[in-house]
Amino acid sequence: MEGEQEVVDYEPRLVAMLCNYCAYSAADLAGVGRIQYPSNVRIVYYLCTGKVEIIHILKVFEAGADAVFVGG
Amino acid sequence: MRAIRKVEYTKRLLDEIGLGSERLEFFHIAASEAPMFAETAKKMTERAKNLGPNPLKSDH
Amino acid sequence: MIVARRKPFDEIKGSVSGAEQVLILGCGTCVAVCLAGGEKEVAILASQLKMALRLENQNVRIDELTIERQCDREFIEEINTRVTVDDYDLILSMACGAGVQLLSDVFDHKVVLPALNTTFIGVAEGPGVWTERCRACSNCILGVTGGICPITMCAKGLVNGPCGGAINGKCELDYNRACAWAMIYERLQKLGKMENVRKIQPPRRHDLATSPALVIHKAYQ
Ligand code: SF4
Ligand code: SF4
Repeated sequence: MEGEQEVVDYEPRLVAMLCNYCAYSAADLAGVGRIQYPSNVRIVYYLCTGKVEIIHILKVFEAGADAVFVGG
Repeated sequence: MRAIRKVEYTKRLLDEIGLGSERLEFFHIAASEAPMFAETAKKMTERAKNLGPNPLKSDH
Repeated sequence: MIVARRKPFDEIKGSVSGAEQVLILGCGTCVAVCLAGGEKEVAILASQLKMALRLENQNVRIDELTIERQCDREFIEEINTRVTVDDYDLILSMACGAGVQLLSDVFDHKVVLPALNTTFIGVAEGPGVWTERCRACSNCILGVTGGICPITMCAKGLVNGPCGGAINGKCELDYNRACAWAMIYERLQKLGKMENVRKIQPPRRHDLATSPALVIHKAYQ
């Protein structure tokens, strides 16, 4: 296992868990309006962020995501 | 709100594991707030860069 | 139902370290309802352990299974139809203490460890909140006390109360806590059963609450 982490410039992989009615629409709008946002964000779409389960978030980290944000 | 509570709890679980709760965050983003979404994505990307890669990633 | 909560993560992690194959076994009844040891909690613990152990470079295989009840042999026997118990060097049980013990009896050649701290017999008050309601005294007096258990709720477990220390309906041992006997008086008043408190109750039948207690149904005696 790597001891102390040297500061590497790497391309982080992010997962955004978004609610259909608010944050996902905002993401959609950002796309339509050509507002730049990092291309390394993968979006998981929920009908409502109330449906985000703890285990979903844990599994995403298990799979190697560097950061996760939930938007609602 | 349920989602906020779940995220707060999951942050604790991440600390227990040793991954660190900073890798997870909840944000309020309204449907019309496209710039806010872009801002959040940038902010979290920056944060992930500072934290370094997820040590569980197999290709690192 | 039985209310329990998960042990601190570090304690659980420490207890499985060194094992190569671990089975996390959930219970689908009481502890599932109190969000401590059902299928979802099994999945969360498994995921957490997998990540934490990987960060320590420990190579442990962790499997998950949840059965209906761990306090009943019938359901425990089902385990071997779903997994091979002998594949594991350790079973981490997420049932209450009763479940952990029956599991240890049935698989007496296996190490069975508890992942929960069993806490009380109680009720759900609202989302995420449970309170203790019964100490399983083997001689229920709820019929006299208007459905409020002084053995559990009274700090002194008095069957003839209140004691002299109650102030404004609060318990003298903790003024944030309601006096069980004040609650009983109010309830009996509502029920028109104040004569219940005028009678002196006989001392508690500690002889009935043998430890460990045993129940054999009359039809099976
Ligand atoms: S093992 Fe414990 S938690 Fe599971 S059903 Fe039996 S009493 Fe309830
Ligand atoms: S009187 Fe005994 S059996 Fe009845 S609720 Fe209280 S502790 Fe339980």
